[in-house]
Amino acid sequence: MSPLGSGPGSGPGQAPGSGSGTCLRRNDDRVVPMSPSRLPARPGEVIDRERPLTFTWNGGAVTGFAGDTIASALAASGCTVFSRSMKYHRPRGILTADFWDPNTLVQVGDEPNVRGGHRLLEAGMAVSAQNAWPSLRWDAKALTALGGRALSAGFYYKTFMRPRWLWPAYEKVLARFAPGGVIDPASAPRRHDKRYAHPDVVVAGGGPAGLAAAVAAAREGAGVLLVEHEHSLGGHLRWGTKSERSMAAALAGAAEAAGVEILTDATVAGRWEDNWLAVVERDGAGGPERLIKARAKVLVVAAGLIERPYVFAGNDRPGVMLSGGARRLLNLWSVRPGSRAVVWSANAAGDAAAADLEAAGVVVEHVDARTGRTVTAAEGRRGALERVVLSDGTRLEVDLLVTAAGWTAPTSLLNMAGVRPRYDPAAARFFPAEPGTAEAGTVLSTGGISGDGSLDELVGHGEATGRLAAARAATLAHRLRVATAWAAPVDGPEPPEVPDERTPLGRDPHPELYRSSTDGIVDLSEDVGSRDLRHAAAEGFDSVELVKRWTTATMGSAQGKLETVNTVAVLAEATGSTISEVGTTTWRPPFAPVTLGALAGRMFEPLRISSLHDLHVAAGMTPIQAGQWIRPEHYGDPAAEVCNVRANVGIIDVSPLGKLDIRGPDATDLLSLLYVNKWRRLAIGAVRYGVMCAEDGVILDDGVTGRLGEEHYLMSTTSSGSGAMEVWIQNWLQTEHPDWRVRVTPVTDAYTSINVAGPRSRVLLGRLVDDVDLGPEAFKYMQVRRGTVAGVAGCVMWRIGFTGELSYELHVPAGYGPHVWQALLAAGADLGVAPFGLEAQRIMRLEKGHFIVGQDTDALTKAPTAGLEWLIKLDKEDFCGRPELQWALEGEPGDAPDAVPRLVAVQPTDPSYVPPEVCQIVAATPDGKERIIGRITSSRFSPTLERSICLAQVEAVHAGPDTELTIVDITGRRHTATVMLHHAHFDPEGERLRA
Amino acid sequence: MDEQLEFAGPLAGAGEANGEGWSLRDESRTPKLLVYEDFEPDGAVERQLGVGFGASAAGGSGLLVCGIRPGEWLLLLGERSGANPPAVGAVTVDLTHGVAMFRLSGPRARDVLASVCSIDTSEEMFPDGAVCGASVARVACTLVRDDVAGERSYLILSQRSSGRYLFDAVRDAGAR
Repeated sequence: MSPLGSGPGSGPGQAPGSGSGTCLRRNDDRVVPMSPSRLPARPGEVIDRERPLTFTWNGGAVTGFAGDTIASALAASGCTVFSRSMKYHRPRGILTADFWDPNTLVQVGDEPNVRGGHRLLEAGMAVSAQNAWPSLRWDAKALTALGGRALSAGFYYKTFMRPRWLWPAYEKVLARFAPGGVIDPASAPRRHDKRYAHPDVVVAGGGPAGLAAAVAAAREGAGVLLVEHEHSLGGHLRWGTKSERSMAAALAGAAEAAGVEILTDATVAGRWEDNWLAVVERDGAGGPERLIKARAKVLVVAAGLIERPYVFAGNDRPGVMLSGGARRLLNLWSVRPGSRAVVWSANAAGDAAAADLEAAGVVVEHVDARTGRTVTAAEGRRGALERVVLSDGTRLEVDLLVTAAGWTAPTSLLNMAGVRPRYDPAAARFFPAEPGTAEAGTVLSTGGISGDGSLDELVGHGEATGRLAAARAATLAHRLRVATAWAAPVDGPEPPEVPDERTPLGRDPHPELYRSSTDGIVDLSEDVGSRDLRHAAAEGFDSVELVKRWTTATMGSAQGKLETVNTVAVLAEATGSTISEVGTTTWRPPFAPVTLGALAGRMFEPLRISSLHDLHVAAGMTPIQAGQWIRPEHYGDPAAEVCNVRANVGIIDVSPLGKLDIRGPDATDLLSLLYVNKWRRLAIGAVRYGVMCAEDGVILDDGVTGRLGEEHYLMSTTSSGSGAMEVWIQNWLQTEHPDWRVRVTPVTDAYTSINVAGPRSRVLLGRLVDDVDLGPEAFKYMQVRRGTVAGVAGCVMWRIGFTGELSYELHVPAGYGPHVWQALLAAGADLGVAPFGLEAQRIMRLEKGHFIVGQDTDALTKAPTAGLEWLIKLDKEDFCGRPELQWALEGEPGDAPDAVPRLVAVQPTDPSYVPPEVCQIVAATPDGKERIIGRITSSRFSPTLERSICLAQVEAVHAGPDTELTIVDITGRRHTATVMLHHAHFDPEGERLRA
Repeated sequence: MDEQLEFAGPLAGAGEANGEGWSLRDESRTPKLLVYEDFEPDGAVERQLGVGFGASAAGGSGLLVCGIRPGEWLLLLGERSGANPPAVGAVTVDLTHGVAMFRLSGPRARDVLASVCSIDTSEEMFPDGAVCGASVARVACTLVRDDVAGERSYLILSQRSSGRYLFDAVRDAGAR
């Protein structure tokens, strides 16, 4: 007769804990702040009893110690129910007491889904249960369990489909059942840091083998980054015997002494080509995660083994715990997880748990799973375990069931490197490879993931792996240095390739224990049961990948670490296959869940400013971001700025205009290739407008280019196109004409560019320039001069303008830009000079009918659309876009040129109506309907003309002067407008700019 | 550089920031000259300048010659050295005004850089004198290892208009 219960067929016995004096009265979610489960101080515990920490659990005060996790502190205070399950809202208690524990996700303040089994306790934490309403103890959502049969896996793919009009109602109801915690939108955003690392060797896992590997690799001279998932090093040694703990400490000390960079509470979350690793470094205190992008030469996977739950009726009941969970609670935090326990063990870890529990005063019934006895049910009431039923009918009255059913090898990092895990039925787990297979390449494994052995054997294998990793890293480092121009020269020949000659670890026999004769929960994160998996198989989802997606098994917070092998085993059973035949799902990054903030990392959003930025701010600019540039949109009143330019003189900062210095004997050939017009006869001192098209004739960019010398040009591009144009030009030079003797240098930032515009601009500039004749005959429209402005030598002056006024574009060495800007304002005070912004410039260019590439053109706009036929010179040598443009200009009747839309100036009939840009333009069809014939591309109210003006793209047949168009605004209202004769609404003959 | 005129650097305020084990200084005033290989390359320019792509060398009088790309050199003429550029190359372009230049120095300079730049700056891969193109806080930069009196030091050069953002990004990385 067992000390804990009765033989087969006996009835219920004593209620758990009754009379023991250790259970608390639990009539709500709060627990009283005492520690009935906390044992006196024990060797190896990680808590600091001198530092009590008070926090709240569902509003009630609780006290733990520094070094506690949230879960251990709550468990020490007598809490047994930590959460409700995702779908059926079944009460859940501690299972693993570590990072992977699916049952201890809690809300901490405004942070949802905190892993209570891992997160270290802090004073003042406000911890609450999530996924329960109105309370953890009385969760109304648990009623969903009554509909369990209807809520089988995949039910949501079949329900809530019809009637479709009810979906909004469905959505609201379903949203209330969404699992997880609550995000507070008012929470302050966290800053997630990021850094890069280039270690020779990354060791994933700080258990004995991983530590040994790290130390050995470091001692061979490799730079080593050791990444440990838990808060401290040692792996399972941490909760082991005194000698095991000593070994862990010694290895950790050796790692530190060897110069290993150690990251605890961190995870190698993913591995990509060439060992590009995402290492997520957590902050045990709940701070934001940090992403380390590490390019390792060699990755050593020493992720250890993760204990596997056993599937049986009631296996998710609070009080059912894995052996590792029980030992961690006992040996790390001195928490007694129960008073009367069944330990059902198939391995040494379970046996050790039984011994530890007995030593802690727990009454233990040790059931040896290796004899064939299994657990068939865990029974109880109100979230408490009361009895365990064994396969032989034995019923044991307990408050704790500890299972030790076997291990899962977390091979996912190896899988990400292309390794396909192999199942070994004799050892009842997957391995990275067949026994004795050498590991080639730059991803190695060691420790429990590779095999079994004594502690000395594991450490020995780790050391050999570390040496192998260091040797292979050295070979790679040599190659990298040889291939990298800026690296230090290599010493000697390349180190030889090192074969894998490690003595392989053995494989301990282990019974295959996955599911009992009863059904239970397989995936505790997703509430997927073995019955769900069988149903899925019966519905035809007989592939493990399909079952995963249909049932969501392995897709929860544990990311398959606890449930993958059980899922495979149940599916194998359901389909009459072997576990090997079923195989595993594909394990992809991340290895462990990562916050989206960490993945997003620190956001780098480069901004560019001109040298005049601070002056614009001081002048009260309203900024606008154009690409990366911060520019003045206006200084208060853009219409007034327009009027001032038309009447007096204004200055605008146009520094973002792209500028390219082009030099060399073949510079003219390059311009002729890039532009659609001719350049060979451009005189020194002249500038010319040009348009660049892609091979398909679509407009890429436009601007003016000035000839500064026989073999020297200064090209301007649009502000937004400057970077792309540089790449475009370099692409032509490097791939098609590497023989051309020409150098192209981007000098956008070398100059502060200022456009001085207005009828008084010549007078103003004349006060600051004395080495260039600004007279209308000496410095004509479309000419360039170099001279001194306000004492600044080396300025380039173009007589061009976008505004339609007499204007000069000054390109001043950027460091002296502020000086020249201020000099212009000072010298022109009596002339009414004032700065104007981008908006005023856009109004004036629209008055003048100049199009903007990207605004009035799009990715289909060819040069003829913009009215550029006059510019395209088919009688010159080949140029970019020529074949397409020739077709567009000379194609078959009916195809071209009528086939392409036309850019036209448009004026609404109502002069006060400014149609929003991209408004559609429609025309009536013979059947009385309408069709779209174009769109408004630019529109503004012109303060000069005191009316609305537009540019539009319309079909060619509607582009004739005086054609009446119908504009449809966003509300559907129709507005009439008329096509104008010229693009320019203002001064179409250009008399002002040529003045 | 016209000494009579006030040179406006890329920063608004103090051109220096410091933290534990690092300092960041604006050296944008440094005259900078881009030199291209001759159109008929025969290696003469490289021989005269003394370094090729990926390396830098001090040329005396504060001159630092940086091989920034194959056949392209950036000559840093020293802020107060008055060094004259060597008359070499097919084309030379003055980039003094167009390029911001910051010096990140100190024993923790490498850690600061690792927060904003993915280049391997280990001693083996990026020794003193090394030059490469790099993305620093997503700005295209030229990175030069230019130790000063045995202290680790980097020159970070970018287009001038990104200079203030870049300075702030590196300073922020150091502060964290």
